[in-house]
Amino acid sequence: MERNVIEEIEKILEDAKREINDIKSEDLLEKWRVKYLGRKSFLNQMFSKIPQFKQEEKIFLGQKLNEIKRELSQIYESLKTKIKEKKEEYNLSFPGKKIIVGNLHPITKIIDEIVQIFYKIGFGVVEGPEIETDYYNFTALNTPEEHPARDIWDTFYINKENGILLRTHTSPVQVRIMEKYTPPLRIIAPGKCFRRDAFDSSHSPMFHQIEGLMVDKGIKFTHLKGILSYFIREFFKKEIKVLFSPSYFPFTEPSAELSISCVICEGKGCSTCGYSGFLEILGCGMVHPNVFKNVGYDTSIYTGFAFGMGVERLAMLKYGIDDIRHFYFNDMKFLNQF
Amino acid sequence: MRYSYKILKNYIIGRLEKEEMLHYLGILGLNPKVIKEEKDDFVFELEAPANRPDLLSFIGLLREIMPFWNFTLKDLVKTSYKEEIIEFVPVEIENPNDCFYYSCRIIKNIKNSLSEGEFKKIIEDLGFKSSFKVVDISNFVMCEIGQPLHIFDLDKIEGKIIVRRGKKGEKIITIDGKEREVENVLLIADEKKPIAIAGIMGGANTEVTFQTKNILIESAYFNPVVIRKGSKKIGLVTESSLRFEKGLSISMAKMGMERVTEMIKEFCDGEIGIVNYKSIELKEEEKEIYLKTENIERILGIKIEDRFLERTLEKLEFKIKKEKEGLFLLKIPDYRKDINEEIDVIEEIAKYKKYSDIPEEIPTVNLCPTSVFSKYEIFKKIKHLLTNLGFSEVISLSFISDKIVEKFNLDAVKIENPLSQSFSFLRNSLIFNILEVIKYNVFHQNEKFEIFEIGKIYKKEDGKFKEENSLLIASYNLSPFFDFKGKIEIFLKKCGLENIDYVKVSNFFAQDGTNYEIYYLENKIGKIFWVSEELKNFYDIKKDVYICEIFLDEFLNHINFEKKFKQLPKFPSSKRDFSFFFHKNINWKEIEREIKSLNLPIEEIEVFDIYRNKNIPENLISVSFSVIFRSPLKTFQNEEIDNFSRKIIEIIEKKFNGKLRG
Repeated sequence: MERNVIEEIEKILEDAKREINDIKSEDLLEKWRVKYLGRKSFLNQMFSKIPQFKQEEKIFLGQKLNEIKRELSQIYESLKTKIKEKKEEYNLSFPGKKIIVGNLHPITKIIDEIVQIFYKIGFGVVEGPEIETDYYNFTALNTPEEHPARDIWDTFYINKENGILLRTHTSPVQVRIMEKYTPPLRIIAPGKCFRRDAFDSSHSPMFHQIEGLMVDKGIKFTHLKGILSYFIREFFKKEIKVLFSPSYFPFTEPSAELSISCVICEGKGCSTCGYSGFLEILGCGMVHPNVFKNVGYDTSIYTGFAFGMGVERLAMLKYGIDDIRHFYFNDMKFLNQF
Repeated sequence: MRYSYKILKNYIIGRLEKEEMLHYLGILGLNPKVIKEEKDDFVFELEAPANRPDLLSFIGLLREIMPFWNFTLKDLVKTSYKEEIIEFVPVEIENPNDCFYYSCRIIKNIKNSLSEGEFKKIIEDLGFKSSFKVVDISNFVMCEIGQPLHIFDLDKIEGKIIVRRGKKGEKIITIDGKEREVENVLLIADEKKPIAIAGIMGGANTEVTFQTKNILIESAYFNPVVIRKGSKKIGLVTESSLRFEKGLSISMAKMGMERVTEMIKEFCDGEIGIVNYKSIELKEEEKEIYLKTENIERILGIKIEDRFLERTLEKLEFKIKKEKEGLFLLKIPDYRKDINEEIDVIEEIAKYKKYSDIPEEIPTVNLCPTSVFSKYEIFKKIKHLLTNLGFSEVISLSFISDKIVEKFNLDAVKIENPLSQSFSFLRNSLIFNILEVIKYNVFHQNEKFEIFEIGKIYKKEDGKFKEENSLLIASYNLSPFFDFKGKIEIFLKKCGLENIDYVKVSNFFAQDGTNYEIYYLENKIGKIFWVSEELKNFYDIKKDVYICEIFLDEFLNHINFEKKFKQLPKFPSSKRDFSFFFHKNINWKEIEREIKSLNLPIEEIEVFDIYRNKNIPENLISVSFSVIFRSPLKTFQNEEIDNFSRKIIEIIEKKFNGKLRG
């Protein structure tokens, strides 16, 4: 084999190494690659000339060429990575682009949190109409006409003469469900309710309630306390003092009001809890026998409890919202917070 | 009602400590609020439950806390006076169902003066405006025992007393100086004129004045429903009407008369007449209730000892007799209108056992499996899909204003007693509320957003009121229309609805030519449009609003969240881009349908550019789209793809007069 072939190859290698030292850009590196590793490079031409050599020279030359090609390729790859790295050296301290994402309304979120808790203890979700009749909203709930307790709920009428109204609470769902199904029953019913209240920071003519009902053999007041205390602890995610005290609703007896130690001041007394240290959260009680009679349940077999809670109130306490109207103005700056 | 601690103490034998009393009232759920505190006194207020008029008195409140204490009540009425004159005013009751008992008594030659000193202060502490002694005494007695009383100036009454309904057009000026229409409202009248609205407020014409010497005291028991209706009708609620409408009793009326006479005699002297009364044969029977102790345990979940039960109920002045083991017969005092059946007694026992002392228990019950495919869960999924696409959920009040109903002549359900003009109808579409939300946001400097609402809309059909579920999606100033439409289409696809058709129709709320109904398998499931200028102007919105309304109840019939896996492609696809000029009113859906009808191995057709500008003739539009070809069996050769493309160009040129761009 001619000595100068080997020399030539090595010279090319040296040239290539020397040249690459000065290369700083991708363009020049590409030119370098074409020159030394490309299809028309000396190296490549030499490969095609291999067959012209003698057998043992072929092997030697082949090995040598491959060696050099490998070396140059390595040099090329590492420089290429280096140049790329340099090029992508950004200043990452600038903020990311503001991405617009959709949010669920806080009322929807609170309702679902409550629903999920009751799912865990085997309650199912049901719904009922918002335009109700006098019978379902009042009479069937042991609140016959001219019952003074009707004043508790200031009612919007669609057609008073025919007893068509906007439901003032979600309790009518209890009656509708009990008319349709036999016990055991474990249901919760979220939904909109309407009362003729002013639209101000603490009242709204429309609001959301969640009704709950459990009917079975052997359901007792102790169970009402157990289930609702469990719910409160799950919902507020901390040990919280729960207080049950007597109350009055025509459709439950005994009736109770559930209060919790104030989540704002932790029972010390503040403006939210009226300096009592406690917040009224929901109304509940054992289903009144008259309600069972109205739906044809045998009161000597079945007992049950019911409860109703205001979703806005719970949301306001949980998120620290001070004005109920925020829920219905739907300011994006409000909605984006949840 | 307000109560004074110092005065409460006057009625008992035994001790009554302030803190303890407040504590017990709290345990009973009466939530007292202290209004005023002084050295030896404090005044507090509480709201009695709707079924407990008996608590609206000092005596009633003391009776309520008695089971917690060892005190006893003093006898209130001592009847320390004598009837001196036999003169009386005759009474006539028009309808005995309106007034069960009416009694009156003359007192002559009273020492009439304004209240002063300690008594005046007490009256004011109790929340009344102090006036003449006789009037203040009647209010004080009402606070003591719960029976409202009225004092007339006897000399202004002409003839007999008639308890009757107001005649057509009849009016009376009440002591607050207001003239009130009292047609069909129960009145106290003399032979010439109405002199009081029964059970609600006295008339100015027979009011006690400085000149009053002789008075007529009224103590009655009116039908609670009649008083409640009257109070609602004239829109006047008074301390008196609040008590009457909840139901009092004849014995209370009698006791009130005795007590007020006694006090007037003591403070104002005068000659006392006999009581004249009219009453229906209303036998106030003692209510009897059987109480089974097993039922207490069945409801409350705790065992109650007989001793506790007997002691508590006796303190509440129930008469209790043990019939046999586990069975008691109770006789209920007549002022406890709320105790009518066994469950009412069980609640009393729970109250005094203290709710907080009843243990908590988690019940052991049978499973009652429910389906997770409730409407609630489907709506939740829809809401999640939309928020994932960048839409934020809003919830608005279900009302719309009379202005919008008038302006657009809407057929909306009217509320008979609305809160205000702006909340006087129920919405028949979510669009008005959504535009209101957009208006509010623009005004509050939120410049671009996309929102949706799921809620009920209300209609009247064939005389029946109906509610439907609706979904409205809106885009304001955030993305070009076709981005919005793209999101809607992804949403529909995720709900399992592919191959949607659009049909152009006119719509009152849309800009001309921008309204399309959305069809799925020939079922109308919604519409998509740009809000009309008129509607935008009404809400003072300047920029375009894109709306997609989904008829949710129909939509729910087609929704399908079930997914099926499709085999992934084994061979590469080939793509060709096409650009055509079309007439600007071309319906793309038809073009797509024609291309598909060629039965070529097309995987997808996607429009990527639509534009019109001044370089293009006015009635034309440039549309660029790409077609992706793929076979499950092989990789296509270039020639095959060219062949497919030719067929596409051919059909477009032939059927749609499309012109291929260079």
